Amino acid sequence: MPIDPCDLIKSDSKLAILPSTFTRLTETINDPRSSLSDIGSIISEDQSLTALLLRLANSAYFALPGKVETITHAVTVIGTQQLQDIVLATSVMGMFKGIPASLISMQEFWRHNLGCGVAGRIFATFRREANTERFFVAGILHDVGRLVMCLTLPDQFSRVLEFSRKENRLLYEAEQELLGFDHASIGGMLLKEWKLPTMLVDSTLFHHDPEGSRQFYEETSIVHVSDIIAHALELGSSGEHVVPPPKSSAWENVGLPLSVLPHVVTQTHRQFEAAAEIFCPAGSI
Amino acid sequence: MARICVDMIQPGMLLSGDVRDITGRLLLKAGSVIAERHLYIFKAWGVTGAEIEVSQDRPEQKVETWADPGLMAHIDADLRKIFIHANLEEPFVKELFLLAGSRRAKILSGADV
Repeated sequence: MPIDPCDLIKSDSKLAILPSTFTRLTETINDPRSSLSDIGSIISEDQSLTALLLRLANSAYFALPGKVETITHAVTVIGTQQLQDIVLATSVMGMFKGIPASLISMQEFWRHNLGCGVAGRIFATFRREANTERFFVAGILHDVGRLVMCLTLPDQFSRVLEFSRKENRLLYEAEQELLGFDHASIGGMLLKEWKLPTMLVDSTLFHHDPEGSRQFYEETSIVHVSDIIAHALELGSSGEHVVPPPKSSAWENVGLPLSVLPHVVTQTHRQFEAAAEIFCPAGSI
Repeated sequence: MARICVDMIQPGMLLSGDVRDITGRLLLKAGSVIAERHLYIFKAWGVTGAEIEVSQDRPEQKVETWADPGLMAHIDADLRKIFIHANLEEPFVKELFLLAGSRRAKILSGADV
């Protein structure tokens, strides 16, 4: 009997809703009566999030002269819009526990997604996008559907992995062939279920076929190209062992000259390890 | 033979394929030995990579450790395996392949990327 991907999301009650820290934070940020200390007190309840935000505010990325020691100071440095995106990324990273390492290495998985996010943010900076952090989150979330597969269909996914290695097939094609759907479609469904912005839903759902997104094909093309760069530079691994082929129009849709690519690669390499130390330090996942 | 990134081409290397600019105009023929001035020509005409001979018995070829032809041939062959589903003739893929090779060579030999 064919598997319905919608049922997979509903089958695990923990998957259907985002952690309360993110939802409470969003409500507080959107409430005109709330203050910075309200935001700070929500974050302070989560020790690992507090530590991460302090690490981030003190990192070379913000390059501040003084040390950031309080969470309210960290929030002012990071900004509420970026804060929401970062909390979303870390909330999702903390949701998938208990996946056996024989299926997928969580450390390597998040390193791959982080590599894609870092490259996406650099592309966004070159394009002078207003919210570069949105591309970072899009990269972090783009392969999340694969974790849903590992959690809900471990045996079938193990067969998909074996089939793709043995037959030298792309992993997402093997997923489509053996399961009838791929990680991109289930990831997109999950993000829709969480009521996340359409840009994030589309860039996950169509990250192997960016022109499938009508409204956000440029943004999705950036995630598509960044995913390929993360694979080519071997930044972590999402289970896929080869570089997925880019769609022919993808680079054109990114809207930058090819001469930018060496700079994107160099900067991705430089920023990647620093970002990995903040978001997925060894032994934390 | 190995296809390498323009920033890894060193004087003394032997070309195993023609070097052409973006319009296909021939800049330097296969069999030529790279000289310092060729590097300026390549950069001026937007050449991103070249095919070089990887035989080890070329004493006149003094190269940086990370640009060692044997190492590059090994990386080239290894990268071709992971790029198996991508079309190496496509400009974006071609450029990314070269950049990935250059990055890997520098990491393996402990040079700055």
